Amino acid sequence: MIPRDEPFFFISGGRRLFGAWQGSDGPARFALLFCHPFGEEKKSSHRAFVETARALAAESVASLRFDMTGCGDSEGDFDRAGLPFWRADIAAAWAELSRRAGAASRALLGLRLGATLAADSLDRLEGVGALVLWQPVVDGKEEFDAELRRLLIQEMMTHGRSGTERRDLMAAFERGEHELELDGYPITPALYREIGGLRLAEKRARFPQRTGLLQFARRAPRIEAFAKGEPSIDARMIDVPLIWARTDFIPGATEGRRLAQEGVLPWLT
Amino acid sequence: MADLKPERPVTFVCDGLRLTGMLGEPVVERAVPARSETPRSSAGAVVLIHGWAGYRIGPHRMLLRAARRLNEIGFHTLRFDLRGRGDSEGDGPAVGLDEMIADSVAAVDFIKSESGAHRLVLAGICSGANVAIGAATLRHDVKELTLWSVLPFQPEARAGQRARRARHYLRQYLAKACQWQSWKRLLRGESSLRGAARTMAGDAAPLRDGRNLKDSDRNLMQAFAAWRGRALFVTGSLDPEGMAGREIFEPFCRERQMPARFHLVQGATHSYYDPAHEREVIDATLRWLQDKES
Repeated sequence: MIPRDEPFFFISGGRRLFGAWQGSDGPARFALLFCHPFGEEKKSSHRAFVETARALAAESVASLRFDMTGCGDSEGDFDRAGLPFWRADIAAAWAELSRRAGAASRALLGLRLGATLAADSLDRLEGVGALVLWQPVVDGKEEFDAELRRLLIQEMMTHGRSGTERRDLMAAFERGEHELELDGYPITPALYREIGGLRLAEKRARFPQRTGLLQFARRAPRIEAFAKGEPSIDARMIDVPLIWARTDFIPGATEGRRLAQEGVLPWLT
Repeated sequence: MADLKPERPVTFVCDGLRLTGMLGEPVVERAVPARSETPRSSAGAVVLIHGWAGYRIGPHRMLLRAARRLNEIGFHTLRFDLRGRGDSEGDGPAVGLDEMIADSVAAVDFIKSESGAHRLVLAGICSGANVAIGAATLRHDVKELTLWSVLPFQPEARAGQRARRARHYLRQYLAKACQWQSWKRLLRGESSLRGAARTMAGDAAPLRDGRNLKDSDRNLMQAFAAWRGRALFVTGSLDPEGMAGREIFEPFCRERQMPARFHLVQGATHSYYDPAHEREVIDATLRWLQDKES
């Protein structure tokens, strides 16, 4: 018998991945797999996922949260992982969810790059009844460049200067002459190319009929434009702080209930 | 041949709340061929405490890597989520410093019973370092503290802020005192000396629901003064908050002849994002733990 609420490890490609199963109150109607964002966004959003999972449990939704290779409590180093590992991890987690879900219909949720990777994995997963995209990364290269700008601004604020122009930095990085790290997570040229090649719109044909998109706090023009593409996606806003970006925000049960009610259930039922 | 035994998820209870953590064990020495595995006797047990809004992995998984390095040199480790954080139970927005201290005391009980270790160490980063101090002062069996980017406690922080604010406004008022316009405004009653004094003193720190969550009901500096043990303080030179902590704790320890070492990581920020800085923090901690005579 599977415990109602269980932290555990499971295997993906020989690597131990951390998982947290949240059973539902009563028989589960739905089972949801959470795909986390990356780098420090994963750490910042962890509690919001936990609170959402607990709120969903009261609505007959069981869920599995897990950490991909080189992230959270899972095995592996971030700089030696990459998209092929993470795609395999999502597939292994989906299999684990399916094993535990019984007759419940299954759904997939991701936040930021986790949303993009969830969409990217659709052709490898059987029986995805619904897809929920929370503030997805629409264009991997643009996202990476924006992160880089943030990094340089941060460097300027810390050191009173930025030692390098962004263009020069990127050129040196791509030649393998300069290492990059985003908030303590090393970025390899290979990972940069993999993430840079991700375009959410290219995955659209695989989206299930029940696909929803949630934006936090303010509208992002690129996400808006993506949602209005063909076929259009049901996109909603939620007035909750940016759960992946705020280091001073501690989400509680109230935010968990709101995220569940406004950010998940509309697309499951 | 030595293998790193994987950490395992554990739960324990504090104040009726179930807290989640990862228990790491010392590296297992394998005989070759591997038939029997002999656990190396524990060098001690280290509880690692995350910062205010983090969880058991710490910034950029630093606590996870620190735990693995500690396991390699023979320590048991427990990385755990304070209540209301990570996977632990509890109402996150309502959790304060004293509750976090209680959780850490319970974590020490837990690892002590799991490991059988007599040497108990509390290690914390940022607010977790303040929690570590608070918990150590409640236990006679915790004799070692490793404190990364420790902050001033709230009363000392407020006093420091008040002093900085007062210095700032004092400079402004001295400049104004040299201007004839200022004296005219004072004589006309458009400004007052009392107002200037109020400005220099500053307002009280904003309270949330009548309570500053980072405050303790105890005087933690007083309790720390009475604690008997040794401590390692690690600070990044580009961390204003951490340096403010160091400015308080360094003279505090020196005046009380407390065995404390202060390690400065040149060029490092509060969370040691640069991998080289992270390595330096962990290396310095391991060296300090291995050098009991320091």
